[in-house]
Formats: sequence, C-alpha cells, structure tokens
Amino acid sequence: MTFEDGMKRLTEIVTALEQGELSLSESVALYEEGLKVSKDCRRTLDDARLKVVGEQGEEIAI
Amino acid sequence: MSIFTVANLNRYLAVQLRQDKRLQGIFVRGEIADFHCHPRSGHCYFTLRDDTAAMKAVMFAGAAERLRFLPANGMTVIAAGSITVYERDGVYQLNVTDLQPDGVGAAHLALKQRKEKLAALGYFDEARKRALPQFPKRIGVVTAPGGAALQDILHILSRRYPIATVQLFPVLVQGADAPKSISSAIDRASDSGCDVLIVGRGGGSNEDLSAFDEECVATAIFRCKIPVISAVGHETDVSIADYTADLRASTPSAAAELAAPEISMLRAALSGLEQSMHVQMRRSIAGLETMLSERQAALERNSVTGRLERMEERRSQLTARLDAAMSAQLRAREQEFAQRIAQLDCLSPLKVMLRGYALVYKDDEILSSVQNVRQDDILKIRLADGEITAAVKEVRSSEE
Repeated sequence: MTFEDGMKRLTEIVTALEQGELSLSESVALYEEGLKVSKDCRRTLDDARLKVVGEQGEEIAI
Repeated sequence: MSIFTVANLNRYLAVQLRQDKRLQGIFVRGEIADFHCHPRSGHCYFTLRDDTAAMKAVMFAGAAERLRFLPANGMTVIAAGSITVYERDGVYQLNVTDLQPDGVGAAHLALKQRKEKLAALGYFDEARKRALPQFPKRIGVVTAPGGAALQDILHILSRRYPIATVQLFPVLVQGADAPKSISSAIDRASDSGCDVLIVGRGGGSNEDLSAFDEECVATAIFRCKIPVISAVGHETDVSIADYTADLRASTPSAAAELAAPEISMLRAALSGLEQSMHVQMRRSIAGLETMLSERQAALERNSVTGRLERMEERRSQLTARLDAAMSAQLRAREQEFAQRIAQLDCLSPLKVMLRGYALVYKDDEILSSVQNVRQDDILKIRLADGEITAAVKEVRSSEE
C-alpha cells in the first residue's frame, strides 16, 4: 500500500470510529487494522530513499 | 629594414589608434555575447558582434556601476566608447563608457512582440494557473543532465520528500537545438504520468537562457497536462517560460521545495490520525462500558431477588400499618368499654342503695306505691348490705 493510500484508509477508519455506529467487535477490528496501517505508513516514511528514474522508467543511481 | 619588437609594434599601434580621432568617442551597435564581470575588480568584458563580424569590448568598473540595466548575452545594444589597444595581448578593444539597449534591436523587438502575442492568447493568465498536488508521487524534472540545477533539486527532494520518485527528462538548455529539446521533453513529461513538473536551467549564472523565451517552449508549458514549476530565470531575469508556468521559483532548490512537502509534515499528519484513532477507540469503549453498567443496574432492579426484596418491604410496611390500626382500634374499644362501665356503674341500683335508698318487697314483689300496704303486713327491706324483715306500723299517703 502506498503512503497516500495508507493515509486515506486511516482517515476512513478514524471517521468510522468517530461516527460511533459500530458494534464492539467491528470497532476493535477497525482499530487493529488502523494500528497496522499506521505502522506500515510510518515504516514507509522511515525507510524511504529518493528513487530517480529515466524516461523509460529505468532506475538511475544518483 | 627595421625589425620591431612586439612591444614596440603594439605600442606603435596603440598610439596610432589613439590619435585617430575617428576612433575616439564613437557609437557601435552590436549584440552582446560572452558577457562576464570580474567579481573583485568590477570590470566587465564582452564581445560585440553582428551577422558577420565581432570585436572585443571592455567596460571598466566605474562605467559599469552607472549602468541602469543588466546587460545580457543576446541583447542588442548601442555602446559608446573609444578604440584602445591592450598592448600586452596585442588586441584592440572598444573601451565602453556607456551602454544602451538598442530599442529597435531585432531580438528585443521579437521578444517584446512574442510576449504580447502570448499574453493575448492567455498564456500568462492567473486564472489558468493550477494548484500543485499536495503529495506528488512522481516528480518530473526537465533540465540539463549533470547540471547544478539537477543536483540542487535532487539534493533537496532526497532530504525533504524521499518517498517520491523523480523522473528525469534531460535536455539541452543552450544553443540552437535547445528550444526544441526543451519543448519536446515537456510534451513527453506531460504524458508520462508524473504529478508535477519542474523545468529548470542547467546551472550557473552566466548561461544564455534565451531558449526559454522561445514560443515552442511556452506552448509546451501551456499545453502541459500537469502543473509546471519553472526555475529558469536569474534574479531579475524573468523568461517567457517563467510567465507561462503554473508557479515560478527563483532557484531550482526553491522549485524542489515548492514541489514537495516536508516529510515531517507527513509524520505529523500520521501522528494526528493515530491520536484521533486512539481517542475515538477510548471513547467508544467508555460509551459501551456506560451502557453495560446501565443494563446491569436495570437487570438487578428487575431480578427475582429484587422483586422479593421489594415485596418483603411492602409486606412489613403493611404489617406495621395493620398493627398500628389494630392498636388504635383496641384502645378505642377499651375506652368505650370503660365509659359504658362507668355509666353502668352510675345507674347501678347498688350505688343508689349506698346513698341510702332501699328496695321494698311485699310478697317478693317490689313496692313502688303505698296503696296496697295495710297495717301489720310483713315487708322485706333490702339495703346495700343486707335485708330487714319488718312489720308495717302505719301507712300514710302523701296526698292526705
């Protein structure tokens, strides 16, 4: 999942929890998913290295 | 035959030219090329040329300071000055004392007209300028490969926003082939799937950036399907590409900073969402706990034990009332009874008799009149504490 998709999913989860129409098991399931997504996002940020490619999409070493 | 020394010959030429009045205080029209100034002395050196010939020119610091515009390569100017000889190198040069842009210089006029034409077509309109994407995934860069501009951009992006990918579109930035190279690169970048495009020069402040004033470059930017940040112009030099772009940056580094957010912003956004999630979860659980407590309480109130307790309470309440009522009733009856006894007591013949009244019997019947009594009759007189049997001595009626 890309960082953007992760952030979007996390926002969806927070909104769903805010609206408060969920059962306890649904809430817990969403919360667990949220924890996982946010951990992945954080790892993406921490591990990121700028990727440079040419016109054909081939990687170029900087 | 005389054999000159080089120094003497150069000296001779210098004097000759200096003495020629037709070479002193003249005006020369030409195009500037290779314009550069010595940083420490402030003297400026350039070439003046036209279609078929060129000559060297110098403008010393004192004169250069008085310039009211920035001379640039490609500019057509009218230079005022005198011909001198730089004896050491054996070159003649125009010692320029004043410089004016040539108002009717072809290049200048063409540029002016081009700007007006493109402005009329709406190329520079603020309204068509697009916003940049907040979190670009792929950033295109059109610039000279290996140039300082590219290095600056990559350095900034690598530090600020390493989760992006940079796609390079190398071009020529100077020379006759540059405009086509740049415009076709922009066209290709437009379809490449990048989210934003940076168009930058090669590097260094001495470059000729006239390629970025060409119409084909402006058109490529105008038609570009993705937002364009241009970092072409120097400090006071704004190219047509800069005017047409969606956003203008003063340097390639600035362009990189505009193109991508700081990664710390992303971290902060992520933390914010994590926080919200924790808070919402705690709230949900607290809400559910409250509901649970309420249900438990309701359950307890309605349980069998509860009901029995309540019934027991009611029973003992009623019993107490019963006891109280009964006691009250009894007391009332007792009082009534006592009253009646007292009344009875008052009416009791015995009480009467204690006061001295007697019951008189004749032949076992109580006498209430003297009518039937004769002398010598035997009467029984009953008093409170006994009986007297008596014989009648005399009878007298109250009426006589």
